[in-house]
Amino acid sequence: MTEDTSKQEETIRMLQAAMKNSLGENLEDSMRASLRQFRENLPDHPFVRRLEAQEGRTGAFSLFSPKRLVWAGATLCMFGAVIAGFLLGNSAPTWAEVVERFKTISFFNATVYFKEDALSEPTQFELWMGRGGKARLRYGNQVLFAEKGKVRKAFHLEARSEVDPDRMASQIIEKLGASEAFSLETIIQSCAGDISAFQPVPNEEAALSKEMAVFDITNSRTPEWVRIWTLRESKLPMRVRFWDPRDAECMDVFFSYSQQQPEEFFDPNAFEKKLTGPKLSPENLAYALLKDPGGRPVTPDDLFAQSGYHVPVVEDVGIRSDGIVWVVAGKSRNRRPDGYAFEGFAELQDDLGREYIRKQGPHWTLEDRSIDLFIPLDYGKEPKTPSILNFICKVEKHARREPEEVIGTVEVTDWKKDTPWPEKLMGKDPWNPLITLADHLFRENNWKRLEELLAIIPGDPAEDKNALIREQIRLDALFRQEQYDKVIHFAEALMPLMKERIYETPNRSSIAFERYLVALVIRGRTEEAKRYLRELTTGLSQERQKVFDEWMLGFLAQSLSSQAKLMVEEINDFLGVDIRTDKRIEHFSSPDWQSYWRQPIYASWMRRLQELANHYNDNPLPERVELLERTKSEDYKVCTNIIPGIRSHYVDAVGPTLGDYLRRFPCKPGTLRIPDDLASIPLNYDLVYAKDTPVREWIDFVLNHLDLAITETQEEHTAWVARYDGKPLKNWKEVGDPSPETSTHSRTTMENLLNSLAIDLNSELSGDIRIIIDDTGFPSQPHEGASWEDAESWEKVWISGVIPRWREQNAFQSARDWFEKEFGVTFTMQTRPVTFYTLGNKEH
Amino acid sequence: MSAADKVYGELIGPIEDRMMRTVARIVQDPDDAADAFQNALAYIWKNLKKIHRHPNPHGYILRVCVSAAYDVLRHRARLSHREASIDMELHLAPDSPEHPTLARETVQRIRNGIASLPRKQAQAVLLRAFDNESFEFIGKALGCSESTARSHVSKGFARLRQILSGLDPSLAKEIAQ
Repeated sequence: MTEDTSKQEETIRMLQAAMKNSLGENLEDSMRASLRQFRENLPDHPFVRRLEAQEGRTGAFSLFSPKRLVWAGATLCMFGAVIAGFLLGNSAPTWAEVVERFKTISFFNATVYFKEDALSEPTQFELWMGRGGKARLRYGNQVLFAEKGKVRKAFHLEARSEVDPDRMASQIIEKLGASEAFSLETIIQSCAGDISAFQPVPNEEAALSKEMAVFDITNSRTPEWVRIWTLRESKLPMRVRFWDPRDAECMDVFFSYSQQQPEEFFDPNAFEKKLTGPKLSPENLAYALLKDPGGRPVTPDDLFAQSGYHVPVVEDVGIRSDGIVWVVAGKSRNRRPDGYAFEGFAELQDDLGREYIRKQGPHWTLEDRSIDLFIPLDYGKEPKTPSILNFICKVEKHARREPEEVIGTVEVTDWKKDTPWPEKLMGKDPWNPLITLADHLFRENNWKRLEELLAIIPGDPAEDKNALIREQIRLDALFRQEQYDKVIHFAEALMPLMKERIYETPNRSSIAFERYLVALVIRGRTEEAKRYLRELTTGLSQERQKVFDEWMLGFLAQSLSSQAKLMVEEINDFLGVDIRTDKRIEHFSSPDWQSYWRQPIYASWMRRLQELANHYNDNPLPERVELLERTKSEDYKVCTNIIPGIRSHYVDAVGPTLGDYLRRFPCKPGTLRIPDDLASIPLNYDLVYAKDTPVREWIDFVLNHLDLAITETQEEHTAWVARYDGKPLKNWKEVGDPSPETSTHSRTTMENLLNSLAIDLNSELSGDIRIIIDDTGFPSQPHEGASWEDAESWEKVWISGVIPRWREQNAFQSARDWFEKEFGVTFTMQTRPVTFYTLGNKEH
Repeated sequence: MSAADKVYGELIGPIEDRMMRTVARIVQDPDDAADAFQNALAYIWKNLKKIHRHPNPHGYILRVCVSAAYDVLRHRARLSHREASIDMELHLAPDSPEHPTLARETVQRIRNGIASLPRKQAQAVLLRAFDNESFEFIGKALGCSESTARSHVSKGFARLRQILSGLDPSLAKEIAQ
């Protein structure tokens, strides 16, 4: 129990003691009398009377069904009566005529807005109804399809899957779907009670236009009213308003009429195909298959279908004296089918083969004009003059795996020479593009060129913002190169200039300060860093505190883990927070804590880890391994093997059965033989092991505890031998994904790919073991005992960025095709000596 | 069943005993408690539609009861402050626990402490202290998130501790007897 909790409980005890339950007899009598009076008066309460009126007519009264939806249904249905009334002129129609005329409408669309009271935000939903009682409703992030008042399917636009229909949306559908099945009288009664209260009365005061007729409907028991605006000639209602004067609760319904939408618009299966097909944005999905009666685009997809891509028009081109190319383009904006827009040209090539990086300038929407700068990568070296410039327009990619798509190229041979870019378009800061280039060189870790470039940018950091950025890039580069003493030195020199900017907005000064703190921690000056952080976060204004909370805190916590290698407890101490529970830190990833571990499914394992940590507070850690029986039998979802506060030992969950546990046995997939009766032995232990103990030792320890052992035998067995045919390999990032729905996206080695294949193949087989032997010669690690931190060496070992699953029919044939196509790896069957591992009772 | 019966049965019936006890426990004085209860019912009557639509109507109603009782405490605290400044003899030294009036004085200090809390903190503290309600329940009753409810409770207790810091915790037992 924490000190706070204990103090809180103590206060609760005092409160409870001081405020004893003292409901004396007299007081109870008096209170019960008040309750009786309250109950007796309740039938006269306006709200209860309204409920009573509804219940009396429909028999569908439910205390917790929102009244507004009842009215939403009422108002939407009621328009039928109104239509009928007005279609037949100003003379009062009979109900039979009303119902008959109502049936002649083939399709309508209604957009509904409703508000709970004067101050609440309106909620919108859209409804389309067609012949045959077919309806489609967009309510929040759901699209529902219904027929005759029954929801057939509901889909979630963001989750892109079928879901249970929203309760309120279902109610609307049920009410409206009834319009075919019930008479108009029934509909109105079901919506609002006494039918005599729903006779429309012309309201000439509200209809100043001759084309418009306005009618009011009032209710004899409650003060709400409904007003209907309708076109006099076509007799169609355009708008219906419901109003409750007691709290300004209101609902507006806007109708539009057109030809029936195509059948597929109301077909949930056609919609589902769209949902599971090529990825569409929610905007596209919400209105998928909807045809605008005027042929106007409704979705980004429609917009794209009309316009497609186009190459921007080059309006003006020039090259500055320092070699920076600028281009002004008209008709600059392109839009992807998913609605994202991009402008201008993405790339520049010249006849000298020079490389450029792009600095995108602003886009003027009204004129659809943009400006792009292209800075030569060899900026500052001997200037060369190209004679041809090729501006390339490409579709802007939003994901690494999207294919490259060139829209077109514009060749330019004539341009303004030694001319600065138009100031009115881009401003006149001449050094700013060099910052873009410096950032590029920084990302490429090209330290020599970076320093050459930074040396060109002039100015005093105290007076020139570009010069300050220059120094901050230097500091960042030193940090990246792990020159922490220099980082500290640099940061201390810059602090007077940066101090005020750190929490102004997320900016380079914030990053530089973070680097400084982390460098201090790495150099063992943790207390100093902590003190400095406290000093600069004390008394922050609300806006600055927000920058710290929402932006800097999370990044600093992450850097303290990944750069300074602090454990979570140490980071908590440094920052004065608990990153395990602090909601400001949404994304955090370290060996001993990940944000997603907060999910309830991991709670039992987290509790168990804490139990183990507590256990080792009082007991010594084992020299090698130790098996601890659990005190509870829970469903443990293991997410980490780190025991809080312990660096030297890890924990391995042992269970729920021996068969499950032995999945980690280090052998080729398919070579471990476990008799069924042993595989099903239940286990409820945790194995705590010292850092350097091998997996085999843990397993042998557990088996020994159970009086079991594994014996090894060599047998001649058929095996699929994988060989590499020498085909040039593509970059691991470009390896194709044969099954995007099921694959895991992660860097991997050939050995892993083959093991994964063998595991999948053997999981589907009974008895027929498929052994795969790796004779490809691809390395599994850079060198013996290679560290994961040596990213550069590992980069040479990775062979794929995707690990496919092979579970479908003919999986092995699909796998063979994929291995051959992507890597030139083929499989042949051979008989080879294979080591098998058999679990059995220990021989004493 | 009539709509009135349904409304009563859904909203008030299941918690009428708790409503009465809550008000009585906080206010203590029977006359004041009856008044506070009347006030709570008047508020519920006036806001019946809002309560009916509330995601946690029972929580909301209990909050209304706590709030009505809290208003009485505040009113009484203001009065006692005025009286105490007139008659200083009423103020007893905290180091005489054996004195029979001390318990009353201590209870009064606790109630004054509650009355001095901001309204939402007081409501959150009392809902937590008397019925050990979950933060989720309190959050819904107060119309705020669970974490805000947690914060109200925590800040409320911290402030109460500060207010009552001169009080000997062992007195709690004595008062309870």
